[in-house]
Amino acid sequence: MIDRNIFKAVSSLGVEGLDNIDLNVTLNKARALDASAMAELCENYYPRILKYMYYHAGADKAEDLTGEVFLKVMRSIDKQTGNFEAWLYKIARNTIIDKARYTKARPEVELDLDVQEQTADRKDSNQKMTSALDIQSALRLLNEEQRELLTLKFIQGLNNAEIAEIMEKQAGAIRAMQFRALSSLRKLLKKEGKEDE
Amino acid sequence: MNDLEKILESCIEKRRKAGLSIEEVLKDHTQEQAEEIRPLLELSEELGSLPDPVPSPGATFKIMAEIVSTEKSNSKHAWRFLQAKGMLRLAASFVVILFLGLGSVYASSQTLPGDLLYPLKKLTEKVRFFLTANDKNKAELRLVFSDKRLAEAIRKHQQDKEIDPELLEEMLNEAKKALLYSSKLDAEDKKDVVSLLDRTTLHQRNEIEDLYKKASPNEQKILSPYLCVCNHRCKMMKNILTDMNLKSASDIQDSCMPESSILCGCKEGKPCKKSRAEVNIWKDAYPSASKNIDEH
Repeated sequence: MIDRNIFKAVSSLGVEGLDNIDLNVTLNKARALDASAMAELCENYYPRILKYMYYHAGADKAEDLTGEVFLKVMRSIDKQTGNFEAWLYKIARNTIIDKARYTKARPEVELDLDVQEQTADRKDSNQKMTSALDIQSALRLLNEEQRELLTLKFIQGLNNAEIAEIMEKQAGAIRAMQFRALSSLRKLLKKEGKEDE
Repeated sequence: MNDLEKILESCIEKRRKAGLSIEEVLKDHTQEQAEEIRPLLELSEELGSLPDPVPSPGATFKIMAEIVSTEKSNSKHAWRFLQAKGMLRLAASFVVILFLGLGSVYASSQTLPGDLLYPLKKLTEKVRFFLTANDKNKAELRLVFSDKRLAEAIRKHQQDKEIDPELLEEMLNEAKKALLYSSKLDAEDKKDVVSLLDRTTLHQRNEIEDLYKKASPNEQKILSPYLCVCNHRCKMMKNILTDMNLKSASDIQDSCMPESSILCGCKEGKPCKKSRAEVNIWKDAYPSASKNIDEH
């Protein structure tokens, strides 16, 4: 009972303490280019976008890409309308797409190198980290769309309607995609497990 | 969508909305279906518990500099000068690095709302909070900010002879955030933060009471609900600490509540609207907080 109450109180604050009312107030101030409100938005959303980038684009690029996202946010917050989180994730998504276009390289090719490095490193890690690394490595072997869906839905905790808006797809398509994405990830993890043996 | 896709979706939704376990959501399905879906649900759970990456301080410098550069300063002339000279970005970066590097800068730490450097003071606090790693430190920092707002409100009253309700509101909000952070901590850290919150609350109540005594009747009207909330917070902190077998600062300091009934904004022995909302928040985080609270 106590735990549930604590969870309720804490979860009502959002990521770092902004509830819906506070978010609207902060957003309105940020749209009027109030520095303190902008810093508050960063404070609240930076960890989330960093995590999205970390698992979607890779640990090596996560901080640079997250920085780019927030610079874009600060430069266009005064024009922001509608759902802020969907807008923020769309910027994050486009930042990854732009980066991939700019480097003219398939992310998977670069990511394979990371997977090898991390596979070598993980022998020294504890059990939990090994497990996290396995999933992280397998995630990177999925196609772009599946990786994005799994990151948004299960790592970021968004719902299908929000994901559909960010990925510009129908909610029904998201439901079908998640089954295929989880199945593919499972197959990859099984395969990796066998190779380790 | 085929059957398995539908089942997976409904299981995920049930788990999210009703907090059911994997076995609970699978019990309505055939064994074959359950065997197909179970590993996918387990995998989704593993994805949800992947660790958070830790942000590095350096990575946030650029963003904070950008924020400073977009700030609309109260001093438009100084701002235009900087813009005209094309020095804005450079100056902003310098200021942020200076603030981060040197910690508190005396000039800005003494500022009040309306001063040129006040937005920078607030921004420095945001950056400081942003770079604070664990929840215990975050909670303690919130209390530091809460006390700063109170100190500003008192200075503002001495300097301009006016009560700034926004500062008092922020003082209460910062302390509330500390309370909610504390509820996430393990038992030992929780005791430390709750004890600190108790002392902070008592201190704030006493300071506002002093301010109230010096204030004009109109100012007293503004102060009254804040004093009322502080009184309730003192009582709730005492309840929380008693539940943790700890002593409250208000037990040690006899003068905690003597004049509260005279000065408090509550009427007919019932908490006012502002205090009622407060009690509900406190109760959600710590159920023991509201014990005997209606006897006001």
